[in-house]
Amino acid sequence: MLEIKYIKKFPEKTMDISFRSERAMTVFFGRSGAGKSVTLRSIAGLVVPDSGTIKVGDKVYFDSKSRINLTPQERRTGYVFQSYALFPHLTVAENLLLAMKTVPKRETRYEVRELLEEVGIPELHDRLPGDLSGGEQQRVALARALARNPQVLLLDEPFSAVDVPSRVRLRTLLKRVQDHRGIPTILVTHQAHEAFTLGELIVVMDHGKVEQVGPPEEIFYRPKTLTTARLVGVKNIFPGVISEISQDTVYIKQNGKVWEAASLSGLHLSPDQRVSWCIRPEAVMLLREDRPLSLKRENRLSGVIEEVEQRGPVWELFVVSKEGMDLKIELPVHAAQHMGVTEGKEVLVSLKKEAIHIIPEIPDSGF
Amino acid sequence: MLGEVSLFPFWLSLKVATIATLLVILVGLPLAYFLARKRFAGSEIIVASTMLPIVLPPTVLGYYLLVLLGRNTIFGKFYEGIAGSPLVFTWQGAVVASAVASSPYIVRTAMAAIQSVPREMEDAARTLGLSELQIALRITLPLAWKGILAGVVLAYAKAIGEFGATLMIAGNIPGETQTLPIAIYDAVQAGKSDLANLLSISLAVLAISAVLLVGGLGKSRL
Repeated sequence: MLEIKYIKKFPEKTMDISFRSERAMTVFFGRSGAGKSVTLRSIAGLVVPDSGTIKVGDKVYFDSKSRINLTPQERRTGYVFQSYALFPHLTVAENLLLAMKTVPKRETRYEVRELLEEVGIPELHDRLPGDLSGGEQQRVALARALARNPQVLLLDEPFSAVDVPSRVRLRTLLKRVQDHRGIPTILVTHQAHEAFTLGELIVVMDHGKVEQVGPPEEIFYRPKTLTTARLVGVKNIFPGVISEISQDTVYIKQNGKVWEAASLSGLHLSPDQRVSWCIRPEAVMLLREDRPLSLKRENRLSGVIEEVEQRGPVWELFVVSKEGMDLKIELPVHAAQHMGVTEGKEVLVSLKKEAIHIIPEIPDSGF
Repeated sequence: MLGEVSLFPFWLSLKVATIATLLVILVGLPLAYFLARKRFAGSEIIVASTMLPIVLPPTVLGYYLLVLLGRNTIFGKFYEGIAGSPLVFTWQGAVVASAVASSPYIVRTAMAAIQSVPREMEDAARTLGLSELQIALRITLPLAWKGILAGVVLAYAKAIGEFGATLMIAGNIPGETQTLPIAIYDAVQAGKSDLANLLSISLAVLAISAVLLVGGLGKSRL
């Protein structure tokens, strides 16, 4: 269990962070400068907050009220730095040995071997960090972080400096290590897909504040704020006014058109309230020309494809509707090819009622 | 004629420079470590003042040392009380002059070398449970040693050639405080050009070897 609540003023920003996590894998998600790393450093004791409480499990690392502030040495955190921070003048084994002061001398050699086996690099025992690839250094950094048998594992952008195939292997390794050891882990990332695939609980941060805390599905499909919506790549965000609320549908007026959204409990909406409504680009449906009228489709819209961007497995389309609405649509490549997607083509789209999400905030101009 | 060359200035210069350099390492290295890693009110003034021995003319430096350490000053009396002999006009005075004059070379290069060690290395060591002393001895200094050693060599070269401040505080007493550079000055003053030549060449060789040594250190891998 993690309980983090702290305030720290810096000349350029103020950190005001508060969240709890009971989950094994917590992800800090946000842009650079949002305060993700500072929070990680506060947990490790490398940054001392002005006030607040930092608890890991039943251990109090920091509590300004009772004047508790354990040194980094007294806290047992396994920190993997973005740069790995391996000691270049020491071999892989020596890097690990430094963290094993509490292990009896005669067991350390065995322990080092065990750890290197665990992260899949037993053969690198006597090598210097400078001679290793990025992926190998990453594994050494992970093994070293585990060497102290930490109470929490802190990973700062661990996959940012390695190539894609190693990244996939490292994720698998991390998952295995975590399942095996059951250590609560915090991972920092600015990549939405990484947060989505790895996180059991996501803490969205922006400008030193927590924007939203929740499981990935909630963060990605039901963002509570516009900032979160933009950070997780919702892309299609429009202003609107609530016109009517029924049992299962919320009607939103916008430029004389009425949109239907599935009614969601927990949102306190009232008629005439100004809101934002949004839909993820992959949730927009492109209707087949040959049978658009045979099916009852909600929230229909016709427009012209202005631009097609081919991004490997996904194509991104920019559609401008007859009413002048800009829509971004993401389609898997096979679907896009099957539909004969080209620039200039007229298309009919449907915004599924269930995919429309309402945020009780009025859109501002910029991001 | 050269048969009557006294070896005393050689040995004295080596002795003075060695002790002075060790002294600066002992005091200057911890100071450099502290200044490289800590920021506090007035730290910039202290950092700037470590350059004074280079910026001040050697005779001015020597004069102030004399003012500070003379027999009637607090320091002078204190030293005399402990050592039983005064500091000024002794070879120990020459050590102090050389140490002060060469201190910037160690303090400044060591500071730069320590600052070049990424802070993250030390932070990593902290999270691994190493004490601050262990971090200094096992991580920071081993990673900065090349720069520190270069500073030590330069300081030694400066100490062995120190002239102005040494003359002011230790004087020119043959067989007692006459170091190599002062002996050269003496030889020139007395018109002994052969002796001046010989002494100058030996000092130049010492200095050039020091420079070569620093260059070699720069190229070595670790």
